[in-house]
Amino acid sequence: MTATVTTFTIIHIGSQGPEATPYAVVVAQTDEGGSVAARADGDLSWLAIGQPVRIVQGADGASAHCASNSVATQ
Amino acid sequence: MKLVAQVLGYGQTPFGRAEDKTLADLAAQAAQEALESAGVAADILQAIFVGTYAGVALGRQGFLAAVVASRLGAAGVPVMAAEGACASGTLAFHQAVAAIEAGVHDVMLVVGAEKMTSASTAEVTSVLASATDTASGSYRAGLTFPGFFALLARRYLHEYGVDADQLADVSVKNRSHGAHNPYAHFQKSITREQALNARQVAEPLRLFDCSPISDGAAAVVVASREWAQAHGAVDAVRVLATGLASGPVSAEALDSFVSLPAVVKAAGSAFARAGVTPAEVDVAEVHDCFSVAEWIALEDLGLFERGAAAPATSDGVTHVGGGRCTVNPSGGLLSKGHPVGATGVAQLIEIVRQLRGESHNQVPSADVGLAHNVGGTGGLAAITLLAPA
Repeated sequence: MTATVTTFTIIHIGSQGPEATPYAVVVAQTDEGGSVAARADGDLSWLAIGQPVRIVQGADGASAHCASNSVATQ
Repeated sequence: MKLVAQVLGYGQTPFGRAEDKTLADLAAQAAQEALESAGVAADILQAIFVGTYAGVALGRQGFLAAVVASRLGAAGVPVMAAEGACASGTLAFHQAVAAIEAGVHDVMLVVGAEKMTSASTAEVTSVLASATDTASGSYRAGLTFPGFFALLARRYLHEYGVDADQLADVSVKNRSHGAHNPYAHFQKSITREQALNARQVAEPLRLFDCSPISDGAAAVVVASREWAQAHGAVDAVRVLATGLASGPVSAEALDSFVSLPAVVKAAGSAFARAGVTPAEVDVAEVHDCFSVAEWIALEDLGLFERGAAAPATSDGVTHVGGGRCTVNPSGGLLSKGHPVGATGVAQLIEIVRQLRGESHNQVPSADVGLAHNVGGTGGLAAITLLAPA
């Protein structure tokens, strides 16, 4: 699913606990209409409002992950 | 004909860490003080409504409404509990007002209470995060409430071209107000530099952009105007109108990230019922759980045009003595603290103080006051308009 970032945040809560690495939650407008929320990890420097992203469903069919367009097309 | 509800008295514990008190201790203390303030004996109460969100999960106390009645020596009085996340206290108050207006009861006690500091920050964050649809993608992605309001902040800054540093102006203002409030969790002003140099919590929100985890309780006595007059009540404050609405219960369900539709609907309903306009509001207590929430609240309430709340705050317009509607003279949630179930009732108490002329940050000639209490991702909004009786 392709989408465009509507807004995002990088969450630092618990950076001394189990969530040792900050992660991003992204809300994106999908090309099918409506919004979807997803998580992104790792290098988050590409995140910006208006950035095209690809939403990848997790193996459990419920969770969603967000990858930058450049990463997703590699 | 609809009856008129009035607030006759109030009681409040200091907000902050109450290590030596249980949830029931806090609730009973505020309740007792409210009854004494109103000159009402517990045994003549016709009902007790209690608002709490995490009584079991964090306070280790269920069944709080009946426990409060027992502590007051009012066993036998009908009791009811209301849960609406961070709006639980006002939800209880609105149910009491509805009972008065409908003629079901004549005199009631409303208590809001929460005990949070005995749990770890991670546990509190997890319990609060469940005030959403837990099947939603945002919840499964690990969205917390600081994260949710950070999503709103990011979009607000983008849409209106506001500098992220301006978020600090909200917390600096509310900390300066809270410095005069002896009930506030934090009673010390901060500088803009302190706010801007604080650690990130959820970008772009930093530490001082976030309300703290607090313990506390607040209570009010509510009665019909007829009952109050018959019993010689003095300094009563009239409930002009209440407005209550539900709304989206997850981040991705919002159509806009700079507005919470439940607030717009509840405020519209309250203003219409009260017959007053936003321009007539002299003082407002708004739900600044995070700094950006104050900007969005002021715009959703119609107190400021879209995009105008941030520059108005930076210009000092919403400060005590700022020349227009004063916002959060109590210090707001950012300074006063946020014991979730107590928050809405404490907001009402500050407005009652203002309308009686007895606030620690008194707004001159306050004639109309507004309290704005929000639950979850804007899944519930409760607006109350008050005026001197």
